[in-house]
Order: sequence, then C-alpha cells, then structure tokens
Amino acid sequence: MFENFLYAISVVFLWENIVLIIVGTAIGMVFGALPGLTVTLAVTLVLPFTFDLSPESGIILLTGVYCSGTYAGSISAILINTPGTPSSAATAWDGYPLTQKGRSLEALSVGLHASVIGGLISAVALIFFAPMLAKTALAFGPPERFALTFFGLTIIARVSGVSLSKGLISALFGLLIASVGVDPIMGVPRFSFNTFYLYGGVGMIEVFIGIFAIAEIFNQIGKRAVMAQHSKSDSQTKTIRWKEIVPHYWTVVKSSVIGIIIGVVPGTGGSIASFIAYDEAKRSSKEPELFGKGSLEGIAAAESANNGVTAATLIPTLTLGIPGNTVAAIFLGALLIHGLTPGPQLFVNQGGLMYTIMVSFIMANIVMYFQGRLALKWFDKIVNIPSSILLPIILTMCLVGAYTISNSLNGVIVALIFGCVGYAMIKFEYPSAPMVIAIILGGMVEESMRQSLILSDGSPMIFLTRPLSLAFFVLTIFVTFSPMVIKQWKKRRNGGGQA
Amino acid sequence: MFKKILGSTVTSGLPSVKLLASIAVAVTITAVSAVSAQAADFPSKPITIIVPYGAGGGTDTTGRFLANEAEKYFSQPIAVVNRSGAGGTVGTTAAAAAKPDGYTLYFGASDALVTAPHSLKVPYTVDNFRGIVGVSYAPSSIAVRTDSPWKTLDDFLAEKGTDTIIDRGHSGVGGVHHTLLKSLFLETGIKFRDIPFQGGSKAIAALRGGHVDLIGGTPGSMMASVEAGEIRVLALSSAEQLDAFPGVPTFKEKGVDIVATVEWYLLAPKDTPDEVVAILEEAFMKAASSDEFKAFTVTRKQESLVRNAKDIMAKVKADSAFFGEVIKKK
Repeated sequence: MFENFLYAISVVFLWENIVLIIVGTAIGMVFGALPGLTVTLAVTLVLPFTFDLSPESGIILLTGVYCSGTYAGSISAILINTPGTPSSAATAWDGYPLTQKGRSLEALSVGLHASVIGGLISAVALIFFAPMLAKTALAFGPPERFALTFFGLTIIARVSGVSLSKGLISALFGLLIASVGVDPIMGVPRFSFNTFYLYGGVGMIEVFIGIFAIAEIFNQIGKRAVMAQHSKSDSQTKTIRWKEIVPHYWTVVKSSVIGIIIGVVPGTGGSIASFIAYDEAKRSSKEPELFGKGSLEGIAAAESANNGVTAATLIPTLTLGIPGNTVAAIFLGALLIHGLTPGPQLFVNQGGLMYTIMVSFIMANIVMYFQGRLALKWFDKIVNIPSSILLPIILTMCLVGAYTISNSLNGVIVALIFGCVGYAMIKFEYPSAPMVIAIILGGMVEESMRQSLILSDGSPMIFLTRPLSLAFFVLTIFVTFSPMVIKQWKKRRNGGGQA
Repeated sequence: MFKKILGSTVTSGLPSVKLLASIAVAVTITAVSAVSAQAADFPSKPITIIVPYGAGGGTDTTGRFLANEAEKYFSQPIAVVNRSGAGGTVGTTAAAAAKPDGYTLYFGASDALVTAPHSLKVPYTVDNFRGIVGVSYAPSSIAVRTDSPWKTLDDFLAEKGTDTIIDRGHSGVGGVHHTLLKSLFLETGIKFRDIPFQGGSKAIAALRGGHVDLIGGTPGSMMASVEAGEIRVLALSSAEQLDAFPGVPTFKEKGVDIVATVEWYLLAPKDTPDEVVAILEEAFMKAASSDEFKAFTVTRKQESLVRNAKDIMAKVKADSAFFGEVIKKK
C-alpha cells in the first residue's frame, strides 16, 4: 500500500500532470458556473483528449474537471439563483437570499471552503475505505434503496417554510412531474400526451433552469428591481477568508460524512446527499429559522455534502463497476478505453493507478481552492451589474443551456413553461424546494418501491424484515416525529410545573 | 457569441474556428450550387451524424471514434450531434425525418430502432432507414451467482415444470435483454418474477448482492465480476461462442432457439440516393475496418464485426421482426 502511495505522489507531481490538474479545474469551474452547462458535459468534452494521454494523466485531468465542476455549481446558485448542477439546488435556497442582502462574497467564501473540506474528506475516505465500503454498497437492494430515498422525501416537511400544506401541494406537483414518461416497470408511457419527447420524462435540468432562474428573472422584472442596489456587497467582507467557515466546522464534517455514505450507495448521487445534510444541519442548528432565508450554515452543509460525494461515488464505480452518477459513468468509460476493467480485481492488479486517482482528488481540491479564491472576486462582480443588462444575459444563457442539453427546442419549451410555473409559485407563495426534491427523488422512490413489491409478491413486510431497510424507516419516524414529541414533552413538563 | 462558439464545440468536438470556417465555406458553396446536389460532388458540406444517446456513453464514444476515422476519407468534416432523450427515440425520430441527402446520418444501437417501435408509439420503423455500415455487436447472456444451484444452462432448464419462481433482473423494460429473457422464459415455461433496473450495471449489482437470482445482459459488462469469481455466465445469445468466455455455450447449441444481439450501425434516411450511399459506404467501411477502430470497439466490450450496407440492413430487419414477435406475446 505504501509503495503504491509513493508511486501515486510521484506521478501526480510530474509537471505535466500538475498542468493538467490546473487546466482541468479551470475548465470544470467555467462549466459548473454557467447554468445549463453541466459537469457531465465538461467531463464528456474532455474525455476525447484523454485518449492520447497515459491512463494516469487522463484520470488526473478528468478528476480536476469533476471536482471543480461540482463545486462551481454553487457559484451560479448563490449569485443568480440557478444551481449549475442539480446537487447545488439546496445551496441556492440560502445563497441567493444572501446575495439579495448584499452578502454574496460571504456566501461564496463559505461555499468554497465547505466544498474543499468536503472534497478532501471524501478523497481520504476513498483511500482508506474503498474496498471495505464497496461491500456495503452491494447490500443495498431495492427495499434498502426505497427506505433511503423515502427518508430523503421526509425532508419536504421541513423545507416547506411557513405553510406545510403549501409545501405538500408543491411536493405532490413535483411527484406528478416525476411520474411523466415511460413507466420503469411496465414500459408503458404515462402523461406523455402522445409526444414521444416526454417518453424519457421531463428533463430535470430544464425544469431547474425554469423554476429557479427564469422564474426569478420574471420576478425581478415584475418588481422592476435594480440589482445594482446590492453593490454594497463588498462592504461586509473584502476577501475570501477561512474565518467564515470556522463556526460551522462541525456542520461541515458531519455533512461531508453524510455525503460519503450516500455517495457509496450507487445511483443516488450528490443531490440527495446535499438535501439530507441540509436538513440535518437545520435540525441541529441553533438558528433553524434562518434556513431558507440566508443561512451560511445551510450553504456549508449543502456544499460539503455534495463535494463529499465526489470521491466517494468512485468507490462503487471502481470496485463494483457500478457508476454512482453520470460523471462516474464517464470515468468508467475512460478506464475501459485504457483497457482497465473496473471491478474487485482493480485494486489488486492496478494498485498504483488506484492511488493515483485518490491523490489526484486531493490535489484537485487544493488547486481548486486557490483558483476559487482568485475567481470568486471576479464572479462576485456579477451582482454589481445593473439588472437591465444582467437579466437579458442570464435569460439568454438559460435558454441556450436548456437547448444544449438534448440539442432540441423541446428543452427550451420545458424551461419556459416551468419558468411560468415558478413565477406563479413565487407570487402565490408556494415554496419550490419541496417540488425540486420530489422531482429528483420521485423516480428513485417509485422504481425501488415497485421492484421491492414485485420481489415480495406485493407484501409491504419486505421493508420491515430487512435490517438495513428497517433501520432507515426507524430513522425516518424518529426524525419526523421527534420534534413534535419533544415539544409536547416540554409543554407538559412546563405545564406540570405550573400546576 | 461566446456561447455560440461553445455550442458548436460541444456538438462537434472540433476546434471551433475550423468548424465555423467550414460552415461558412459550406454555406457559400451550397448557396452557389444549391440546385444541383450531384453525387459527384458529395460531400460538398459537413456531414452530421445523429447519436440518439447522451455524450460520453458507449454508443456516443463509438460513433465519435468512427466519425474521426472516416474524416480521413472525406474532404469535409463530420460532426457528431447528440439528440438524446426518451431512450433514444427522440434522436431516432429526428434522423428518420432528416433530409435524405446523405448529410444527416444516424449512428445507433439496437434498442431504439428494433424494439421501441414494437412497444411504444413512435413515428418511425426500421423501414424509414437504409444501411451504410454495421460496425460491431454484443450478444446478450444470462448469468447467476457462483453459489447458485444452477451450474450450467441444463440445470436451469431443468427448472421447467417445477414450482421454483426465479427472480430475474435486466437493464430495462422493452430492451434487447428484457426481450431475450421474455423469449427464454416463454419458451421454457419456467416461473419468474420480473424486476427491471435502470441500466445493466445496476442489474449486475443486484445479482451480486443477492437481490435477484438471474440476470440478462451483455457478457462484456459482466466480465469483471466473472473474473472476481462472483458470477457465472450460463449461456450466450450469439450464433457462436466467444473467445472471451471459453466453455460458455450458446443457447442454440443447447437446443434453445434464441439468437439475439445488440448491433451498432450507421444508417441513413431511406430515400438517400444510391450513389451517395455508395460513397458513404466505401469510406465508412474503410473506417470501421481500421485496426484502431476495431481495437476501440473491443475496449467498449463490443465484438468487432464489419458488415456492408446490404448485410446490416438485412440484419436490422431480421432483428426487428424477431423482437416484434416476442414483444407482442404477453
């Protein structure tokens, strides 16, 4: 192991590989930060360039793109309310309100530090736990996956804001959207209105572009707001400082661990990790009322969790050959092209390369930190651009982004429709967060539940007789009802004291 | 403008300046000689290949590699455009409806073209296309865990008439692997529960984790788990045995009449003129036969098999008829 580690360090620190990391993180940052251009796209475009490189150099370049692309999704989430990647959706909930209050640089600073720490913890986990954690991933069959995703859905109750009923309506609408497309079990189209475009479901990124960005643009125009009014942003924080993150170190560590655990379960990915970490941070926070209105702690939780996923998701990819998300799937493709077959044997046969991947994750996060520090000050200037100039630019970027996803106008139409839906939701004060969670998790919840029920011949007992699944259901009940029970108990004790 | 340039790079994978320049040239040329699109001039503008799946996947990378190789034989660049969505049917529809002038081609794999029209309402069938070249294929196969009681295909077939219910997994409803399983279980009458997954790798994980008893999928994707001694491939759906799986029989050898494969091919809209197809066929046959391309398909777990325009179309039509028949049986 130690020899492999030394080999890895000697490879990563070759000057050409250092250059590749710097180039890779720069590309990732640009793609991550532009709405509609995703990390997946960036990694795909870089992939052909790795064909001519050695497997090590190729992986190093891809790692740089992947890490910083995942991080950079938070930049647009904070500044223009458009998560560059679905996993930054939770970041927008607090990041954008902070930008509106003129505290964007603080938010960006927390986002950067949380991301880097999350990414580093994840890389270390990959080094030490990969072979061990891989076995756990196999234990996740349909019932366990259902229990986990169902647990994710309970968060809806706590991101609903003031009105729980409005939150539930929003979530149900999201589930309805998630059910559009070809049924995963029977293969029959649902709600497709006879247009085969909808056979594959409503595109998630297109919906996010509509709900978050276009709706907000409509809202700004409606209010005739002048964004230049936020120009005091520089007054509170002038530089990117570690100090910002210090009060939240426990949240960051906890969220990173949540990210790693969820990253190991194949097919779940960064978004559910950031939702669960966000929810946990809110539950244990001293100031839960700030969440959703501009809490730095919320950003710290969401960002450290989704970057905690980055390296961890490679654990099932490398050891089991099951990609945890689309980027991991492309990593898998890159390895195959170099004649390396992922699987249990990879760590035995290709130890040097495995450690190179891990060390390059650490390097990528360090390089990303310094690039982020340089870039954020410039990105922050965006908030000083008058809205009459900025809004049309963002709208154009959004529409082009919606187009590029499948290279068709259908994506643009979906984004515009959901822009209108999102605007109506803002006007009638329906929270969009529950809907977004429902759209992301709806498909997974449905698929795993129906697979489980087929396996059990329709008996729901399958969810309770399997230990891991039972554990998640107990956790779900605990997290959902404990606040109420504690409240009741306190009330009764206080009442008892007075009587 | 910046986004626009970025957009072109995205879809073509070419240096943007070169592409823009060639588009400019192409536009001028077509404006001048718009009327007489003679085969002798072909190609006089860039060729577009529609890939109906997202960038970075197996079909996409294979299509891009083929396009790169084929560019050597044309004076014009070839752009690969991903029109993903709805399991490949969106891109296939676009390709079927494209102008049949040889400038818009289609690179795909079996599912969207040979199975989807039988189970979904899509505005195309195999008859909307004509062949250019077939580049590779992958058979389907069935696999079980190494600790399974079924050591061979015969052990499995012996379950015929028993009360054993087999939990069978596969990569998705209506695909090639699902259809193969359906045909196998229909023919043998073995009892089953059907559990679809979203993608072959998830089905393999479910088999290894003990959540299903048997899966159908490409043997190449199972290689790593086979080498690790965790799963065992019982039979292949190819016409002949594969070198990579010594001793694993085909269904046909064992008396089960199933031959089904996933094919990768380049097609054109059906009304594309013969002369144009002949030019395309010649160049793409050379590209597909190059050692570099063959080596690449092997890394993507495909079996290299180059077929000419006539052969690939015959194969696609035969597959479509076979899958259509199985899918119609309930």
